[in-house]
Amino acid sequence: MNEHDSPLDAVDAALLQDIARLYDAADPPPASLDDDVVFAVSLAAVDAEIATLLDGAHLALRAGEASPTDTVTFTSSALQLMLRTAEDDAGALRIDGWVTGGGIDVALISGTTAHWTTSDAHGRLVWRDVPRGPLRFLLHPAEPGGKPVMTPVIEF
Amino acid sequence: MTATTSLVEEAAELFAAFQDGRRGRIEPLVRLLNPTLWHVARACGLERADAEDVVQTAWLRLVDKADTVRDPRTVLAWLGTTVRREAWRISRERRRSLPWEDADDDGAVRRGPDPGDPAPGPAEALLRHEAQRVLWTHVSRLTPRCQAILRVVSRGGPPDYASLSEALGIPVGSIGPTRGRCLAALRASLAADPSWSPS
Repeated sequence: MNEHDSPLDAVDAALLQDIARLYDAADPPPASLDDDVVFAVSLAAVDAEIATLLDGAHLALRAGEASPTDTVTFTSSALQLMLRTAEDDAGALRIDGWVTGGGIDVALISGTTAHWTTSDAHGRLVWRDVPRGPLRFLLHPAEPGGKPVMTPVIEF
Repeated sequence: MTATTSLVEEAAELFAAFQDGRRGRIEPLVRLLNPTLWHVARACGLERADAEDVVQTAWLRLVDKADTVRDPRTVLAWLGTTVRREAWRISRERRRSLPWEDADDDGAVRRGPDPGDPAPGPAEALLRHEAQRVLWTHVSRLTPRCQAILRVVSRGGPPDYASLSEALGIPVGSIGPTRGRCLAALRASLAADPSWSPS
């Protein structure tokens, strides 16, 4: 408390409470937000580095954009991960990935399920029948002691 | 959140335990602070999907850098600031300014319609109580700056204002007067409306 923190009168205090309730009713956080965060930080507790999306790519990530692209690249200090989406003939989502190196374990995480795969000698990865919705990727470098890398959540 | 509880105090206790190796304490901490972080992100003008991403990113950064947060009482300000900076980065990519950074927008009541207003469209439909609909109408007439500030400072009690103002990137010395001006404008607007009866 300092001199700028002018005390509220009872009407102001009640009004602020009303405002908090108002926004909780009008624009509540998504019901899954807490669980998603808890899950993500539980994985991150394995001491992962957070990968960043390369500039400009962010605009392409959201469904409904005027001209969506289907390619996105994440970068971290040691690894780069490029992802490209496609629909197969049955309309299922397929994600092809390229990572800087072979033998790298990469998990596609959807909700609380992780789908692990390992990059081949050319760094290639593929996931088929990927569920729609928010996804993130967790990378475990091949060399011992390498720091895991987690991407932010994206949605194709 | 009522004025008698302090987000900062409760969060400090949980985060100190987390730093001490009780990693499971992160879960109640997430549940305690997420609504506030969500409203910071939304007050920054982010769309809902972006707000979710940004809140997650802030938590991941915190877990990554937990050892560097020396005073657990700063965890709310730390997370809130990270949310705002990330929001700013995304807004900049989309060439938008944060609602309270409009230089010629210093009043408490907005001067005209703002087509870029990110306020949720169907809000009225979600508000079941007449009193809330009336309040929403009047809050919507405030400047984006006032809306953002009231939305965020209403999350905590007086002990939390310093952290919440830091989350907003507003000097703690000006948050009190600004909040006062915004509340005064809202009260005047409500007082002129015969359909308003305080809860």
